[in-house]
Amino acid sequence: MIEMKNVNKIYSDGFHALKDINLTFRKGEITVLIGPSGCGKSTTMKCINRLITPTNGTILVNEENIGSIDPVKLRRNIGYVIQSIGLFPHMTIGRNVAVVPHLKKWEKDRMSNRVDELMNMVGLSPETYRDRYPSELSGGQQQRIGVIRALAADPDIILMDEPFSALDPISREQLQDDVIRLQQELHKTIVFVTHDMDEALKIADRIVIMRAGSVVQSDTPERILRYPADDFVRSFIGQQRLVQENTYDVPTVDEVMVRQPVTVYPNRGLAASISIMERRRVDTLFVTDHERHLKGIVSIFNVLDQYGEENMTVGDVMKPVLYSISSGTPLPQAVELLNRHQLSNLAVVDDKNRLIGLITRGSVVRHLAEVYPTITESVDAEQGDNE
Amino acid sequence: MTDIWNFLQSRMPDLLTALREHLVISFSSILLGSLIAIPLGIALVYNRIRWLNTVIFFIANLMQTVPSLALLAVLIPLLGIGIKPAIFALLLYSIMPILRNTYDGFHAVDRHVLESARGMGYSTMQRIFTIQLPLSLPYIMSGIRITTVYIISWATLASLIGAGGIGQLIISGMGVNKPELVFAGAIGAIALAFIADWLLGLLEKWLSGKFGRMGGAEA
Repeated sequence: MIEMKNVNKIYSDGFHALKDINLTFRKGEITVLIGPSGCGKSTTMKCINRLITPTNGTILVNEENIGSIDPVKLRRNIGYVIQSIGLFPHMTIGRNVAVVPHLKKWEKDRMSNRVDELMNMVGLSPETYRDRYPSELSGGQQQRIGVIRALAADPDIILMDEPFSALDPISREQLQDDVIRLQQELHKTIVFVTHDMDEALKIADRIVIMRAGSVVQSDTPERILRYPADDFVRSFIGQQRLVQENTYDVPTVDEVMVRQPVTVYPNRGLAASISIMERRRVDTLFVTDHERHLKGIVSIFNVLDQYGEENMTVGDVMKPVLYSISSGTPLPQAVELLNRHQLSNLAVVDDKNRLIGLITRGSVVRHLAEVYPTITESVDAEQGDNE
Repeated sequence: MTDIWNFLQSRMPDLLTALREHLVISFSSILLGSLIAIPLGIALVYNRIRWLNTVIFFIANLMQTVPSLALLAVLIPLLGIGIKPAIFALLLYSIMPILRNTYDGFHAVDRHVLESARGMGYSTMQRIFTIQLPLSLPYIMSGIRITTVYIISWATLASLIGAGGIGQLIISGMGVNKPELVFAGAIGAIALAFIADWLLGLLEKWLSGKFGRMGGAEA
C-alpha cells in the first residue's frame, strides 16, 4: 500500500506542479492516474520511487516513509516501466530482463530461470528471443519485455508511465490484456499513468483524475462514470463513453413527458369528447377539472359504449386513473410501470395531483433519439421486440 | 628504387629506433590524453555549473589552435628539451577531440534509457560504467582514432626539441640533402598512422563485443 499525504511539488521557477496531493494506492489494485498533459500525473508517480523529490509532504510505502530509504534501494524494489520502453540497446533481451536481479546480485541459475519464466508468461519463447537485441524486436514485443523487466525481481509495487501510448492500437490492446491477465495471477500494487480514458476504464480498479496539479476525483471507474465530480471530469470522460455505459444523469419523467396532454372537463358531453379525440388524433383523454386536477381517464371505447345516452357526460363514463407517476421520478421507473402493466401511457402529476404531462412509449423513444443518437437503432429494435 | 631499398636496409637500426621513439611519444600522449579527457568529459556531463563547461571547452579549443611548433618552443623553458615536453605538448592536443566526443557521446545516450536505468535502481556509477560508457563507446573511440592519426603526424615535429622519433629522419634528411631519408621518414609516419588506426578499429570492435552490441543509430 502506498499513501501520499499533503504532497506538494514546487519547482525553483515557482511552478506549483503538485498541490496538496492526498492519495492511497491500495495493495493489489491497479490505480490509474489520468489527466491532460501537464496535470502532474507523472510527477505524482515519480514521487513514489523518488525520481522526483516532493517539496513537502510524506509518502509511505507499506507504512515506511520513503524519505528515509536510500533511493537506489527503494527503486530496486519498485518495478518501473516507461513510455518509450527504455530497454538497453547494448544488452540482449535476456540481460535486459535480468537487469534488476543482476543489480540485486542474484545467483546465475536463479536469474536465468526467472528470465525464462517471465518470457514464457508473455508468450515470447526464451529460446528464440533471449539472445536477441532490442532493435531486432517489434515495438509491441519490446514493451512486453519492458513490462516483464519490471516484474523480474518480483517487486510488490510497479509504476507504469504511459507504457503503451507509443504503440499501435493492436499491440496496445494486447499489452493491456497481458497486464490484466498478469495482474490476476500476481496481484501487484500497480500505479499506471495514462491520458487514454479507454485504457483507464479497461484496466483500472481505481481511477484518479488530475488537473493542474490537483486530484479532481478518485474513485472506481464505475462510480466515476456514474457520478462525475464536475464538468471537467464529465468532459474528460467524454459524452460518448457516458453514453456507452448508459449511466450518465438518468433523466426524470419531466424531461421526457409530452407536455400539455389532451384533456377534457368532466361536464362535457360524449359527442364533444369524440370530436376532441378526432381533432387531436388520440384514443384516450384525461379528465381534469379547471385547476387541472386529475379526475379520471376516458377512452374512445368507454365513450362509444354509452354513446346513445345523450344526457351522459364524460364524468359519468370515465374510469379512475390506476397508475400515475409524480413529477421528478427517474424515467426508468416510468418505463418499468409502462412495461409491467402494459400501459399505453402514463400520467405525470405534480404534488397536488395536477396533470402536468404524459409519458408514452413514443415520447421515450423520441427522448432516446435526442440524447443517444448513436444507439437509437438498437433501442428501436428492442422497443419493437417488446411490442 | 633499389637505391632507396639498399639505403633503408643499411639504416635499418636507426629506422627502427626512430619508429620506437615515435610510437612511445605518440601513444604516451594519447594514453595520457585519454586518461585526462574521458574522465573530464564525464565530469562535465554531470557538472551542474554550466559556465564551467563553457570555460573548459574554450580552453581546450584554444589549445587546439596554438601552432604546434610554437607550443613546443614555449615548453622548452618550462620543461626543458627531450621526450617529456614533447609528450606533454601532444597530450594537450589530444585532449580536445577526446573530450568533445566523450561529452557528446554521453549526451547522445537516449535519455529514456537513462531514466529507466535510474528508475530501476542503477546508482550513478553503475549508470556511467554499464550504460553510458558502453553506449558512447563509438563516439569516444572515434575521438581517439582521429586524435591518433593527428598526433602521429604532429609527433614528427617533436624531434625539433630533441625527442627523437621519425621526425629525426626527416630533419637529418633535409640537413644533409638526402631525399631518401626524408621519404623514409614520411612513409614511416604515414604507415604508422594507418596501422594505429586499424589496430584501434580492432580494439573498438573487441570492446563493443565485450560490452554487448552498440545501439544501431550511433554506430
